[in-house]
Amino acid sequence: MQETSVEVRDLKVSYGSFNVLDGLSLDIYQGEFLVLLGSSGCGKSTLLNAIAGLQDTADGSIAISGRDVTFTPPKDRGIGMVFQSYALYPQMTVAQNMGFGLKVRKMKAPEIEARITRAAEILQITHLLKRKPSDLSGGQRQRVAIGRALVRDVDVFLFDEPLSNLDAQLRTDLRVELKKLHQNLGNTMIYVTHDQVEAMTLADRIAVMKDGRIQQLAPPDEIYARPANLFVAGFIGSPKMNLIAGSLEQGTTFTAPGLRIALPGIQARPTSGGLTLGLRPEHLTLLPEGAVATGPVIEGTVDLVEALGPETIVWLRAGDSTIALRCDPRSAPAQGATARALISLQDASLFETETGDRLDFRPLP
Amino acid sequence: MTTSPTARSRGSRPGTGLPVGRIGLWAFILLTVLFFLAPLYVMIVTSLKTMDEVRLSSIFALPMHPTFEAWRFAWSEACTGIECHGLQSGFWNSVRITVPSVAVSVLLGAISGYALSYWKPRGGEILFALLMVGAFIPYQLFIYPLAFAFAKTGLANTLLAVVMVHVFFGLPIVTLIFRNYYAGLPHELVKAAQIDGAGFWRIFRSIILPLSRPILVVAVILQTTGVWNDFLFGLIFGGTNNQPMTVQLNALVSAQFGEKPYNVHMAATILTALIPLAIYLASGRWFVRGIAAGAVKG
Repeated sequence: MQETSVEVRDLKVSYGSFNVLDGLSLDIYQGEFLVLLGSSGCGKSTLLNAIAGLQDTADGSIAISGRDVTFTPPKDRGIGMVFQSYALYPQMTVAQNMGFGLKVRKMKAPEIEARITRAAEILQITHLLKRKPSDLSGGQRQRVAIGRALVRDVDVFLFDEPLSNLDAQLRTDLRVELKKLHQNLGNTMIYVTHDQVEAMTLADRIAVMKDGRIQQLAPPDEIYARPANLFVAGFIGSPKMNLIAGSLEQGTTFTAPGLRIALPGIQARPTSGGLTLGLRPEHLTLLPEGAVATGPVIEGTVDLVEALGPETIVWLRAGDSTIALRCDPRSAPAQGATARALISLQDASLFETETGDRLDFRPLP
Repeated sequence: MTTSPTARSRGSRPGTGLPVGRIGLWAFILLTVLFFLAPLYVMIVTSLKTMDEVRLSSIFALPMHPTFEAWRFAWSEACTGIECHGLQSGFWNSVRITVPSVAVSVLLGAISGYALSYWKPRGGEILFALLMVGAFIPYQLFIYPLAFAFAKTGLANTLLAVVMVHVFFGLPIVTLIFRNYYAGLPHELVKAAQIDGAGFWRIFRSIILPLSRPILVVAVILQTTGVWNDFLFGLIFGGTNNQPMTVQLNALVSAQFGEKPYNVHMAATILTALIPLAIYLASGRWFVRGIAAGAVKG
């Protein structure tokens, strides 16, 4: 069992009568890179601010490094925070920005200097120390913002959408750098984003949030392969997972308008109502004409073909559903053609339509 | 195709319009300028004349022998009521009233604007609304209760009373401009400073105040001219020892027997208006910029 770094218990945060977070619990391990992922208004930033101590909590508790900090001011929580706008103090140089927190704590000047020098070396910003934030590029500013947390020797780094203000190329570069930094420092990092690519690439674990609740907390590959409910299934992945609403007939046949898919050996049973079958675009393989199917098949006409370069997305109209599938650009069918796709059933997900919950589904071989 | 593509797509340059319209516009502006500058011109030329010349020449005529005698007289010898030492004591009274009034009201306004904008204290919005209501009630309404209160507390006719009144009435507008200015600065700055361990005052001093320079200039200009030009508060609350320049000017101009020394009146008036005039001329650019910054980023 790993050591817990940040422990959130039954946290409640309200704005007036509206509960942004209501009874949220979350354990974050020592040295973990945890990503809070969700669209705006889901409460992810509120949770981060509550952990930082910048947001008043109505109920519940927060512990950092084994110490209850629910009512501790931000400065004494052992956290550093990097904001979306970086929030560097405009009138101070880079060195002054990094040293401000230490100066406020009345640390001796030589010690401050030593810490700034060390942090600047780690972040490779030594040559920028005398400059003002306005003279820096977005990426450099972000490094200074990280440096400000680094000099204070904090246990936990908090990131509030730190890459959202950057252009696409820089975002990709800095994502890689952040990952490296985490590997070198080994600190606990909590990272808020609405960008699923950032979440997938950076996280040890992702907490997908919606309406103030954690929908699923799992490593990225599990979130992707085994989404816990329909929301997570639809939120992660681009193009989105194909979700086909239907019902189970004769025990093992999944039926949707215009579609019949045999699901041999299905054991799960919905408690009531219908089922939704979830298929990732890469779990559908186009069959060459005349080939013999070795499993369940979807058949339809090609609506649209999108060439992305390394792969091509084919939009197939089958019954009432439009289904996206990935294929090799060289084997892409023409628009309007009829195509058959083999379903990789062991990779499929099954959800109860009404509750949205995942059904455990193990097809027999 | 006979026309070039650029000529076809560009059309006529906007803003040039008809020459007639332009001429009319300039004529109007010129007329307005003359209208507003004429009194100033008359004041200046009259103040540079001797009384003999004032009597003889047209008010628009330039002085034949320009002299600053009237200015000297207005500054150091003219009678302002019983005493005849000119406006100089009034000038220094005005300085003694203006400097603390401006300093205190701007500082308090900055602090309250900062508190309202970043710390969102419980009931802060209501407090601010009340402050605004206070700002829009004609201040003449408050004169009697204030005079009564000062008399009861023994503050009547003191410098402190005048300064306090100026601070009270300056605070709403100063708070408003600072609050609006701070609303335009990123709030994450304050959050970052909180995490760095700085408290309410440290954040104000080290982070917010250094970023407030443009709006400080605006507030200081607004308050300085307002306080300097005040007549009523100085007259009512200052007593005889603390009369500001404006009150002395009024005494000088209205309490004369026999022929009115217009040249001295003009010189005294210009002297009194000199400080606000100088501030406007020196800082008009800052003023407009700051007002715009405070107004737009609301």
